[in-house]
Amino acid sequence: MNKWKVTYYAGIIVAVLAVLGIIGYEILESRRQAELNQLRMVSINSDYTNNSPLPTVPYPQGTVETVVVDENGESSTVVVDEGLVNPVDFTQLWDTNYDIYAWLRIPGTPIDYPMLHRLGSFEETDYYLRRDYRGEVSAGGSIYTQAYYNQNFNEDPITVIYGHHLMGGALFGCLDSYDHDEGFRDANRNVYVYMPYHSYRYRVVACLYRSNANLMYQYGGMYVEAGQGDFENFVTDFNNGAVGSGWVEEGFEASIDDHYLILSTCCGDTSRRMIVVTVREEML
Amino acid sequence: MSKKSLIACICTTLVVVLLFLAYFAGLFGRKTVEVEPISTEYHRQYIGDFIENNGHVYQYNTDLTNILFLGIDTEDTLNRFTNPAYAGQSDAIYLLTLDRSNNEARFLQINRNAMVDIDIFDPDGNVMLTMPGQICLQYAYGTGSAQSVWAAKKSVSNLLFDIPIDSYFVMNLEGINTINDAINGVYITMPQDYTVIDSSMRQGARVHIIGNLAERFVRYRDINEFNSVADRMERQVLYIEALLENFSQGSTYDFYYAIEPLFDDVILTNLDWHGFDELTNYNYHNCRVDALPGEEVATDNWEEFHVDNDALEQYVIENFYVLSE
Repeated sequence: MNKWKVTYYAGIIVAVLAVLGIIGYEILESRRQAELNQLRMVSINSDYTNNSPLPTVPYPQGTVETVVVDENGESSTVVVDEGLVNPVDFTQLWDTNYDIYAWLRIPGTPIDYPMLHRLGSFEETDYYLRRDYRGEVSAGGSIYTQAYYNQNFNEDPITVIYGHHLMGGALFGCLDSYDHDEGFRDANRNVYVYMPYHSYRYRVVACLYRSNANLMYQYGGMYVEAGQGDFENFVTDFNNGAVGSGWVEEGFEASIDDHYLILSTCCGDTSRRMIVVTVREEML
Repeated sequence: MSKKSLIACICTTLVVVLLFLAYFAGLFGRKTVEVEPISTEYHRQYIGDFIENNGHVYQYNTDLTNILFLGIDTEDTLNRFTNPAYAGQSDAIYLLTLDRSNNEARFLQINRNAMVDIDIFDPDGNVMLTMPGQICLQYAYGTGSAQSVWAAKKSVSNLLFDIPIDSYFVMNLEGINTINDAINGVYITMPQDYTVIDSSMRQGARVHIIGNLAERFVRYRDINEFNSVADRMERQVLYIEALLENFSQGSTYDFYYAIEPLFDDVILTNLDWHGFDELTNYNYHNCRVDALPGEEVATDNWEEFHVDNDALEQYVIENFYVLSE
């Protein structure tokens, strides 16, 4: 073989080896990334389960009686759902982050989290999508409402709470059980929201899969006023099954007199979302 | 080389080069996934953990527990929403500091006229604007209940260079007599002549403060006298000391269950049974009572107290911090 041929063949071999080497590196790199992502998901879970710095809120104890005075001045004692007694010390939570404005609890599930919202520009609407309750960057994020659409929890006929669906069940990870697990549904029907001046109880009435369209944008615009325009569309669509498909409580009919709390999370398919619809039952 | 092998050579090289180019072109088009960092540093509840002063580093003394006491100038229930400016002014502001290392208690009187930055809130609880004002106004300009408590707590903490305030005990005007009667009153030896409040309050007399004597004793102020707030604060501290002594000598059970029905109405507090029980471990008799360094200044209509911030910083470091190794 002459010199050139040797060089030529050697060159080819080197080139092929180089290409193989780069491809190999890429494969290993992407595998490493996937592992990292896996680890991140696990550590996000442990952020919320094992080493959680999340503040804990006690459970109300015992039964509660409250004195109710009617128009005639007659007073009577009424037993109040103990779950409505506000157990949250907001003065402590606000020391950490004043954006915490409420607390969401579904007793019996891991859902026991502060609710956040950020007042600011439209660009900051999803500020807490990737920030924890302290306001620091965190892949899991917090459960939050979009202050652009929901400004008055007491008055808004629909409030949408967003949260990630994390593996292992943290944040809104357990919500899909409302769709297929009847036992879970029956055991965890009550949803409580605690705020500085009021506490609320909601009842779970539906678990639906729907498109990715922003529910508040579709049915409310910037501020939803009860009984006007778009909220009525929500009520009609819900009763026609057009809001999404899935489980609906038997015999439940939505009405414009109700207030709805909707928990919205992802469901594996990025073009769709899963929502759990609850209706306000009682408040204190 | 023969022509054929030269062509083969060039073609192969071209193919290899094209492969490389294709690969790198693909690289440029590929989106790099951003790995967002997961925050592992836990947020401190307060900023004043370490202070540097005069070349030394000081660390907050974790043996201390701070309890903020507020007396609110309103007859209405404390546990409700109010429009900003109507929640009532915190006319009595005292920080009780308990030292676990020696079971000592001490008070810091915070003059209600101390000039600080007041956050004016809107009815939704958002800060509308911030302006200078007397510190007693902060509670009033919240939206009532927990939100006003937090705003007042934050303003006291900010004044004291961000030391943590662990608990609070807030009371309205109705609370004075109600709590006092619940514990069958207190006994106070008059340090000076207070017969202007009640004829029994001669200097040196040991008076049983009961009924509406309690409210008169702690609220009375001669508004025509300059700096009458200081005189009133002295009486208020006397009363609180006597109250706490009575409480720590008696039974926590009796005291707690006497005032517990008043919670969320006349009293707002995050002290629970254990918190109250813990209070009995401290010595209140003739305990130290400090005042904010600064001076009263009379302006056209209102009294202002201008805090001497340098002296206050020294005070805070000496009393709330220890030298860090």
